[in-house]
Amino acid sequence: MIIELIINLITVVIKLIATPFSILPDTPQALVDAVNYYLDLVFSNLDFISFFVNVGTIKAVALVAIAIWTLDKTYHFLMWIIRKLPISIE
Amino acid sequence: MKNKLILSIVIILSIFVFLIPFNIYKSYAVKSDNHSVIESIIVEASNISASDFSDASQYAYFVYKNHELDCFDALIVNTNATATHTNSYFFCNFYNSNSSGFYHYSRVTGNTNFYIYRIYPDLTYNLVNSYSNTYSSNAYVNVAEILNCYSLNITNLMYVSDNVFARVSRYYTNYINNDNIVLPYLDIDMTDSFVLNNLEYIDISPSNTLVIDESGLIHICPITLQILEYETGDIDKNYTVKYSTTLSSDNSYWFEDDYIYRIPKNLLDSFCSAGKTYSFVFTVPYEHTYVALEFKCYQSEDNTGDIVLSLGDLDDSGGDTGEDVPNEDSNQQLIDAITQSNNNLANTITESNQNVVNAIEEQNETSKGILSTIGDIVSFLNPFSENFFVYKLIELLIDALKSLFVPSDDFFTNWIDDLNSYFGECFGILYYPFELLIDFLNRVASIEDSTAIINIPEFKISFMGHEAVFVKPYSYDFNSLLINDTFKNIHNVYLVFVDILLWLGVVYLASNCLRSIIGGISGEVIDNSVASEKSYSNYVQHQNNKQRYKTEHRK
Repeated sequence: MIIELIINLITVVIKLIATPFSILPDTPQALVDAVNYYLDLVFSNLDFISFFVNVGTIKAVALVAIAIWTLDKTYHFLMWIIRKLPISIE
Repeated sequence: MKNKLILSIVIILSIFVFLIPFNIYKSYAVKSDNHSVIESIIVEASNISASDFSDASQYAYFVYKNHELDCFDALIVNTNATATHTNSYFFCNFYNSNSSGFYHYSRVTGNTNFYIYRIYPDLTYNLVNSYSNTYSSNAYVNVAEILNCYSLNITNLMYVSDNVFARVSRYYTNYINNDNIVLPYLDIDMTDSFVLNNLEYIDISPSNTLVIDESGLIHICPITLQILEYETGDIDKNYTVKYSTTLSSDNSYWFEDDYIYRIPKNLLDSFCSAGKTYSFVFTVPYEHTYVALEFKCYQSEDNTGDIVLSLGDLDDSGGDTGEDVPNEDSNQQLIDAITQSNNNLANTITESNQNVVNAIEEQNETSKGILSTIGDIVSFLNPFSENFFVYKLIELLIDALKSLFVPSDDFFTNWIDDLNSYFGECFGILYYPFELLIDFLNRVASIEDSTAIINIPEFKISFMGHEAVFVKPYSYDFNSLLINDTFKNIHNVYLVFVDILLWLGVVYLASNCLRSIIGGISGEVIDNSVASEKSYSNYVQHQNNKQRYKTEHRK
């Protein structure tokens, strides 16, 4: 509940900050359609990859690789949080 | 304890069941006195008109209903002559399988038409015979002989007069004497004639109004109604006339439209009292016979003070003579009452048993609930029980802390979706690359290995109404190569090899990452503060470098 409250507060702050940017124009629909057409064309034919490699293996390897790549940063982030906690082993 | 309780209930129930018949029989014995005793009413004359056959048919219906005959014959005399004797005598004979025929012995004068009609219960009739005579001056006509309707074994003859006040009380019977029909006439007491059970014409409506229906009677002569109150409850014993009236068209209770008498209940209540036995006596002026409706008054069950007249089963006809009917009715009523009481007893026993079973089940459920509650309380206090309240308290605290710090399962999902949509609307084109990346990742995550088909779309260019197709559409399924088993086995081995390579690459990536975190990277100067996070060798090397640095600076 506390975490949710903090995140919601942060979200409110972010939205308040981002509100002035609402004057920015939207993405042109032609660009969106073109990109979507291209992606549809690619990914509708991307299933043939499964003939050369197991897609399930790729997904699992990708997740693990991402976790490993971010392990250093995640570790330092967690240690930074732990140091901020008002607890001591002494 | 439980068995004793059940045994006690069974004993009480048995005693209750044993006493119920006596109670019911006792109550029935009181009410059994209320049965009605239907006597007879004698109708010895009718106003059948000589020229009105409808009355005859009505009379036929009357006779049929009271004697249950197959049919009977009726003589209709139509005379237009000057009669020296004004009476026309109609002799109707009951017609059934054992007796048949018709006889008339009368004296008529002038031109007279004789018709014999056979009348059936549904009031249909057909002409059996007819005769016209021109006799005059006191001629005696043996109509039976003339009409050639000799019949034997005629047991009853009914005398019907068109003048109800003529009161020629004669009945005729016949017998055979040397093949000649002899029709002696006898002065017969009218009470010996056929008996009219008048139960069908007397009713007590739901409002307890005494209704006397004469619509079915052809006799509309004045009838005296007397209500007798008996001292001892036995009919024909000492009685007191409580009410007397003449049922005629002049009576205020006569309803001409319906041909009924309606004697209101309040009139009966004025002289009827609870617990007394009464009888209605209908007396025909010329005879001393009557129909007696015996009933007993008792207080209504709803204690409204109303007198309830109990006449028993009104649909139970009394039969011809009415002599044995009361006993038969009484026996039948007794049988019905006993049957009813048995049914009531069975229902009562069944209901009682069901109530006891329900009570026992309810008691068992209650006992189980109490025991389970006590068991729960004890388990809460027992330190060795998993329901020990301390454990429960700790569990509640853990749940409270968890709910305090750990967000719900779908919180982050909803949060990310909310932010994504908000940023997409807010930042517009600036946020599109991120949306594109998210879309790309979602598409990658949706790739499946079920099919391996490549589709090449058609590529054409249209210009000024002309189309030029550069690439035709094409589709190819790679799995079609796997039809060959050998190639399929090789393909499977290949996939396994690729999987191994991929996972080896992950392992290599993991080792490098771990070395970068734990063992550091060669050549990197490591601070003391993070020395504990390095390997011992690097730490020793670090100390050596530090000592060498100090030595060089001292020099």
